[in-house]
Amino acid sequence: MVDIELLKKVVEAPGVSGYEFMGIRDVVIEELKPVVDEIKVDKLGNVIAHKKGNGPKVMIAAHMDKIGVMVNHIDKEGYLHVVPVGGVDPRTLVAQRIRFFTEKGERYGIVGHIPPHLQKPEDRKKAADWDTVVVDVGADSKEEAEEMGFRVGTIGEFAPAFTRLNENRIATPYLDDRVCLYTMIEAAKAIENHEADIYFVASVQEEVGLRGARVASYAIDPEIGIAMDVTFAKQVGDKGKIVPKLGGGPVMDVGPNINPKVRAFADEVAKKYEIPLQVEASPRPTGTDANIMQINREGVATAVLSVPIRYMHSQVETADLRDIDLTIKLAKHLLEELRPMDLTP
Amino acid sequence: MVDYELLKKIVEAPGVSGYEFLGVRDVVIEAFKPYVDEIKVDKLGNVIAHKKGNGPKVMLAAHMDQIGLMVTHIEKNGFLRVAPVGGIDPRTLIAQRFKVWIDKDKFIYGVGGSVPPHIQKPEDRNKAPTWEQIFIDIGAESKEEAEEMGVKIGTIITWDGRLERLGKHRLVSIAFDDRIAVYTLVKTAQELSETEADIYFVATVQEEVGLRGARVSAFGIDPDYGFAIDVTIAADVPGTPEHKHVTQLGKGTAIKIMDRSVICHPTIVRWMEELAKKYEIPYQWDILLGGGTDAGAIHLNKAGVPTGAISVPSRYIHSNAEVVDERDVDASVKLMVKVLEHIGELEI
Repeated sequence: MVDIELLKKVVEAPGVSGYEFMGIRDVVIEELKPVVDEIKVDKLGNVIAHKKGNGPKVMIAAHMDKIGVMVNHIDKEGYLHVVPVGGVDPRTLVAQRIRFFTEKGERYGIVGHIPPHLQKPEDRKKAADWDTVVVDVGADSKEEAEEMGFRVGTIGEFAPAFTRLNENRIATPYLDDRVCLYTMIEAAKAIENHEADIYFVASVQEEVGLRGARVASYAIDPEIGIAMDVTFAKQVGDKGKIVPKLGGGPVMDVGPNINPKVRAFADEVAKKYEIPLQVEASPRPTGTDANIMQINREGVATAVLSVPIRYMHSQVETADLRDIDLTIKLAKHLLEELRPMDLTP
Repeated sequence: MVDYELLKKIVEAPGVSGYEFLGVRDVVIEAFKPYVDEIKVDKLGNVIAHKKGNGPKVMLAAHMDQIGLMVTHIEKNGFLRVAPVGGIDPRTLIAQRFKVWIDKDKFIYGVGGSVPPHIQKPEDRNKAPTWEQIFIDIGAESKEEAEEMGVKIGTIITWDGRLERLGKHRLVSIAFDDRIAVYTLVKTAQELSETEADIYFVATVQEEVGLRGARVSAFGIDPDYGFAIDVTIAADVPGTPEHKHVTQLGKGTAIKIMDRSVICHPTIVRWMEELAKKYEIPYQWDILLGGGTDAGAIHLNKAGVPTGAISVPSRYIHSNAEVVDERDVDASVKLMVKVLEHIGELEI
């Protein structure tokens, strides 16, 4: 069963790329420390938790950074102008609340919206872009905004809005990738007997270029690398291109980024424990930490384990609790069952 | 003259990026075996063939992966929807035959459907197809039937292509990019006489999806010098002005100066030119603004590797009918042999 309280805590802890120290890092350390042998934070801020074993060295990574915004200008009327950190669609920000982390504590801002009454007919068809997204923090002047603690470089993220849709579905900002981070934490807690030498990594700066996983995998030098990241679930407007569906269970990719031996092993484990496993084709290197892990040093046998979600990179990312539960089980069993094996594709 | 039988085996074996194990890997291992001391396959599937020596450590790379398609989903009525692995122009898929790889060395046929001109709207006749319009017909009437035939999400597809002679000196085939270079690599190993060089011949994987095999193999080998062999564009065809030919068929091996992934070490470029002149090997220059090669990954390994590259000029690359000139292939082999025989004299 999914621990909703912990999931919510993990989802809501602050930590835009590069600023994971603002909250999520301590949550991860607090949760993982009791169940691992060693835990450390590296120079980029990755949390690396080591659960020792004599078997194959495996790195399992879920990124703890979030997409967000950064203030790049405060104008004389007190409005904040922001730039994206990671892939934020400016259209998702209109008429939304943003939670900022200022020198004087947490502050909210809102992105204004031009009332339909005042819009010209041709403007109604235009999408918001970064020039039109302006944040109102309640200040009437630059000085007042600065007095409130805002400055160039202040970090903001989507305001928390954890919503239970029904028995099985939740919607909230930042399931990417906190739902997988939560899943990895639960798997770490659930593991009993294992041979594998396991490194749990809560990686930083994935959203700005897989940077945390790059340095963590260099330091760890694993044989096997598993990225836990969200993937797309069937949704409106997907033109039938998306195969995995909400409630269908965890998803694992196939493609050049995936070692076929590790993937076949995952199939066996899923079958043994009767966990439905969905497949997704990834003809290119994936947009996950597995991309950079695969080309670490002399090469790593990589795979991706995903919780499917709808509406990725929005405030209403939606997941199914049954998928989360099954993904925890699959991650636990994969790590428990791992034995030395030939990893040649 | 090329060894036609060997070349045929190398170009016709399947091996789309990440799926080199479907066929080409075994062909390459077999081909290198008589000429090297040790062969290993690494965790990404690179074939690393080592010919030991006491001189400089040299890595030679030619990528054995080819572009292809991957099944992304199967329609209710049995048609396959696909996505490109590597850079594929959807226009090259219309009205083509395909091999759908069910398993290692086991395939079924498929065809890339086309809309008969009779039922096309006049305005559609000038439009290139998009990926959303591409499908592969394997003869199945339902999703279930396609699955019974062995097709799954992730199944790999290649053009149904083969090697043929074309005119007096030319050859046409699927996958000359980059199997003609893999062939060049094997022939280089075969024709090499005395050399002190410590040579690693690497048939790399996953070049077409980002130079990934070369990156990890270079890390493991840690070479003093790197050389990549790849194809380059020969746009010496009607409608292309001479200054945009890049290279021309039959004018020799192309010594790379630059592409989007690498600026070749200028000392190596000059030295290769001197060797070509000395041994009367026909050569031309390769400056390519689009596309990269394994040299791009190798020269950035660890603290940096002086790297050069040669290219076999090829027309119509990334299609089912790539054309090369066997005189250029022979010249490429000769130059690589001389590079290895004289590598001890190279001063950077």
